[in-house]
Amino acid sequence: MPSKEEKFMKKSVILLTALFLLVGLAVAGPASAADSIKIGILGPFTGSLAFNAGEMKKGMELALDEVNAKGGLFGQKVEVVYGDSECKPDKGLAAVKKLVTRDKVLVVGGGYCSSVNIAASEFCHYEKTPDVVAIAISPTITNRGYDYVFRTSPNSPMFLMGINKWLADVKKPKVVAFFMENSDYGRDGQKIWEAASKKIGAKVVANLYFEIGDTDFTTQISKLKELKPDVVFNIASTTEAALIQKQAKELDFVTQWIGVGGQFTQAYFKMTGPISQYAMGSSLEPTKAMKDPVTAAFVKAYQAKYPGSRPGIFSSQGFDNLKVILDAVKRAGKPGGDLAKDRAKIKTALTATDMKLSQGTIKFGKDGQVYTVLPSVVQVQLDKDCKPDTQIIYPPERAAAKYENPQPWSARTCK
Amino acid sequence: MVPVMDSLFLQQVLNGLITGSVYSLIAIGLTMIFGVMKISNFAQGDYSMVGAYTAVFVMAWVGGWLGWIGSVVAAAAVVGLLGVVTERLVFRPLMTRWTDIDMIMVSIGLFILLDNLAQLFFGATPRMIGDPFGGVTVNLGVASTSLLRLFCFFFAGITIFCLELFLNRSRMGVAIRATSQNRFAAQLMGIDINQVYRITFGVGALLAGVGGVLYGTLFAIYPTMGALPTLKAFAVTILGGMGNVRGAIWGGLILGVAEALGGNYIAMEYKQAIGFFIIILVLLVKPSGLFGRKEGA
Amino acid sequence: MLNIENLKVAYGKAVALHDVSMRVDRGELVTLLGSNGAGKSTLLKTISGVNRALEGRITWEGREIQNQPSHTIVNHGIIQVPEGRAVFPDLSVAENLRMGAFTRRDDDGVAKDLNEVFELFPRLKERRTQLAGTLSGGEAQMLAIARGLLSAPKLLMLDEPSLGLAPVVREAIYHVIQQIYQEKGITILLVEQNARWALKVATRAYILENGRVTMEDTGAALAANPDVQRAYLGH
Repeated sequence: MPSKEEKFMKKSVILLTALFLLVGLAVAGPASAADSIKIGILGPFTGSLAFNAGEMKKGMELALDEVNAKGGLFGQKVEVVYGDSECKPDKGLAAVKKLVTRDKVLVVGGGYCSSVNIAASEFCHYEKTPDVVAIAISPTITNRGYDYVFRTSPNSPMFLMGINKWLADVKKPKVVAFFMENSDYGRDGQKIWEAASKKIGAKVVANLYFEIGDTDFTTQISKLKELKPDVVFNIASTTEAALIQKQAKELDFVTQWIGVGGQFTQAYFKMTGPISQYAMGSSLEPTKAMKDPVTAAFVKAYQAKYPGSRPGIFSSQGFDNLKVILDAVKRAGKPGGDLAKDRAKIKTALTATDMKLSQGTIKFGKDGQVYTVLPSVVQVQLDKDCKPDTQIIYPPERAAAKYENPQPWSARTCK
Repeated sequence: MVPVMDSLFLQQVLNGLITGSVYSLIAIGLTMIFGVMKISNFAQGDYSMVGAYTAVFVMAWVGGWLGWIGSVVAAAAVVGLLGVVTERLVFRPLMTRWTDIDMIMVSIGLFILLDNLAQLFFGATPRMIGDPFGGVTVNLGVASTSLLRLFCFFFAGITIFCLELFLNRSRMGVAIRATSQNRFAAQLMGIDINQVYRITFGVGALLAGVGGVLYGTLFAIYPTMGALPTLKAFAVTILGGMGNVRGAIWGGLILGVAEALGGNYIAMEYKQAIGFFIIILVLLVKPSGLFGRKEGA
Repeated sequence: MLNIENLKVAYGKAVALHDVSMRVDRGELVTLLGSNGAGKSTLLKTISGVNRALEGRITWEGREIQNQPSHTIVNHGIIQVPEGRAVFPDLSVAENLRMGAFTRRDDDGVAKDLNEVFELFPRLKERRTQLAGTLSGGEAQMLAIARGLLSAPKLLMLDEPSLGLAPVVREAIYHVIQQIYQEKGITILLVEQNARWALKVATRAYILENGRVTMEDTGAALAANPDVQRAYLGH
């Protein structure tokens, strides 16, 4: 005979289980339907990068809506299955394995976090499943000769090219320091910039690492303050980059911060406010390239679907990524049901991609890397209401604003 | 060789003390709950997360330092209540029957639930609270920091001081300590054990909530922000001795300073690892923690 | 004053007490004898509300109290001094005593009782600020008894108060127990290994074997019983 307490216990266990399930469903979305074109999308949908991955997802949903509004492909609905990597290689690998072997997707897209995608793309290569990476920038992803691996975004050398030129021509720093994520993203970026710094004769005084998800950077910033570098290369994701700016202010440290790009999202500006003034990076902000009719059309469609929001780099990278995938699936022809053959056909179709999208023209090199999308050098500048935004400052032919030298905190008018 | 009087050294000690004081605050709640109920509460950092979001809402309503102090008070109330509710609904019904491992799994379940609920209601986008003191920096001669960081340290200190008063002077505070030392004897003295559980959980959560406001003001606020403080709080608790409040206070400060100095003088990339390395050392030399009693005493 | 009728207690499926009946009247010193595992501590814990009674009744001054929470039992004036002393090691002597008076609200009465307790145990007064974990075994036992007295009990239940103490210290504890009984007039229920002394001081005594009461009589009569002598007095 169960006592009152036992009954209560059972009830609460059932209640808890139900709550977990409910939350799980709310996050996971509806279950998959049969007879559809299935595409797997990998991304850090939970964890500290979840909001950036959400931006990517919003871009993808726009592309997905567009194709399904026209009746899908071959009369079948296109369905996207999301796999959560949490930006951790082990989780990402488990998620991509599920997409490829259990969900039997035709092609894997999305992808964010270099460490995850180095592992996931290797798996896709051996499983002969096309993997089209959307955001991760480590060169390793496409330089291993894996013919099933593609990337629709610039890699880190391409992201850094513009900045390196600017450093050599304009800034000419004498003392530089590195402050980066302890990951492939951070280490690859460091290698490229270290070589570039040597070329222009700058002295590297520190190589400081931090772990993804760290929140306290005061130790590193105090050390940087002591070393007084002209430029600090800060290879970090949005949240960490914002925290570093905030803590630099608290410790009264001024330098020219240079990031890779991708950190200057709306969320970033909401977090930092005017604190991020003067920070630099390279970026592919779609709203800065409105002269381009394709980009402008994307921005308009995006704002129609998500009123009041502004598409950032991740939304447009997500949009282009899925567009490229859908285009290749379409050109490969109606799937015959033999997954291996269908995937091989899509791979072949991908190599022939030639599209004009929100980031620019997308054509793959022999290694699967896109070389036709070129980022510009941007700096965070404030408008008269102290609102921060990025402005293209280099190369001169694309520049919309002039470079501003970082001022001491006490001399800044916007608090 | 460490240059002891060098200003970078003192700057790092100051940085470490400030961060460490927040670690202490969150760890005290964990260690109290462990001491009294023998529950390793993996949802402790999520109480901090809820406290931080409380501050987001209060500060959207009243800005500046007044709003900030108000949000510390509000977070204490909201999270303290959340602690009482979770103790009653989640932990107590299972206490007498379930094993320690089950309780750990339940607390991990609670942590996942709170994370997901926060993501559902508040979204994944990280937020930052604007500096309530307008970003004023303070130069202490050999080291400098912001007024905000000093206030965080000060608030952590005040909260810990109030807790010490409660635990040492009040009847219920002494009863909580008594229960953590010998539950059976406490029961025989007429101490209402369930009330002690309720208050311990409430106070433990309250401290994590206040810690969460400080942590969230110093750093950023997002649904999964609780994971790191939980990890640190466990490290601090092991360092100071499981169930030992004084141990958690000193353990937090030691961990904060060790991370800062280790990061500066040994290697930044091992900053996190240094803290855990110290813990392994302490456990080898004194398994009951720096301030723990010997087993079976 | 305390009446136990047909009490049954079990730990899971293992029955620890079968159908136990006994009573303690006001002003008595009742001794409970029995070998290890006979159920003496279980009985005290059940009276204190720590263990659940499956069947039977416990009445206190005419009211049923079985299965009430332990803090309510203490409020009735029933206090147990547990076996193995069980003081709070990281609380000071004074804080331990304060916990003894946990349920009381009459601060003046507590202060008065504290003075009396310090007269009874001058050593505790000297060591007031010391942590209880640093006391010797005899001192800790005195602290445990003193702590029980501070609840202003009507019934004091002592579980093996001389266990593990040196003979000299044991004599001192016996002396204190007799003082408490005779001078303060507190009713006592005593569980004690040393049957010779326990039967000598008892007004009445019970013998508990395998969870059942097997004998009941005055202390003197049981001390003279040949079976009791063989089993408990070592004749």
